[in-house]
Amino acid sequence: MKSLAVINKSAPFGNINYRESLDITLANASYDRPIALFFSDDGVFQLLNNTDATLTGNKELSKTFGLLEMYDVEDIYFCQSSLAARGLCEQDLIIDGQCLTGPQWFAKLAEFAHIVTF
Amino acid sequence: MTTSFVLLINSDVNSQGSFSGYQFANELIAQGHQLKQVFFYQAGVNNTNALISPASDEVNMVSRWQALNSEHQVELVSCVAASLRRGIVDSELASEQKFEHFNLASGFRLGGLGEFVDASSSSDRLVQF
Repeated sequence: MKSLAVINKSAPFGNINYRESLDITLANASYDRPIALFFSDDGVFQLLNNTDATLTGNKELSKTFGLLEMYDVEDIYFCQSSLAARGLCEQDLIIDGQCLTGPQWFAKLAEFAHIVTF
Repeated sequence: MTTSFVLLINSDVNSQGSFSGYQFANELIAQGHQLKQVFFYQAGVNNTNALISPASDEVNMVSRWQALNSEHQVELVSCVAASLRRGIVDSELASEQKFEHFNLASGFRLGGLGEFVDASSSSDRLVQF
């Protein structure tokens, strides 16, 4: 099975990229396809630990991301410069993952056979 | 050497991405590669809406995709969940949901994300538009 990297670059709630990205992630994970999640640009806003999604008429994101563990999606990476540019650090995030510098980011991505971006 | 491809079309019917994906599909077939599946997801499912009818001097993407299917037997699968979100159903789903109409264009087929996983995880290349 070819491995898959899913890159999330969209902030949540303005559109449903975050939700459809999660759907495709869980579908692939349920077939035991090797998969990893990458968060960069405004995509890092999906991971804020003090977000109340219900205020925007959306489902709570913490429940949503809770599914990742259930589906054994454990390889999660954050773009360090995207976090820094938005005044965020790993402590602000709701899920555990690895923070990568630019060169580390591209080296990690290169390990995957396929990439999709949302 | 023949390379196998799956195309993921996330671009709306009225965006350049969908036409670029169509051109890419034709070119890789022309070069002798294998196109295993075109999977429509996100706003890409709007490419499968039979009711899309642009002005006569504009490109009709729905019929372009249909031609790809009829001329090259390329499998055109559209995500059922993404389609339901955007109001696209086939006749079976329409009666299941008690809708008066269906609007999935011929040549396309609704399928689950599992079909995308199956096809893409065993293909050499996955290209997203």
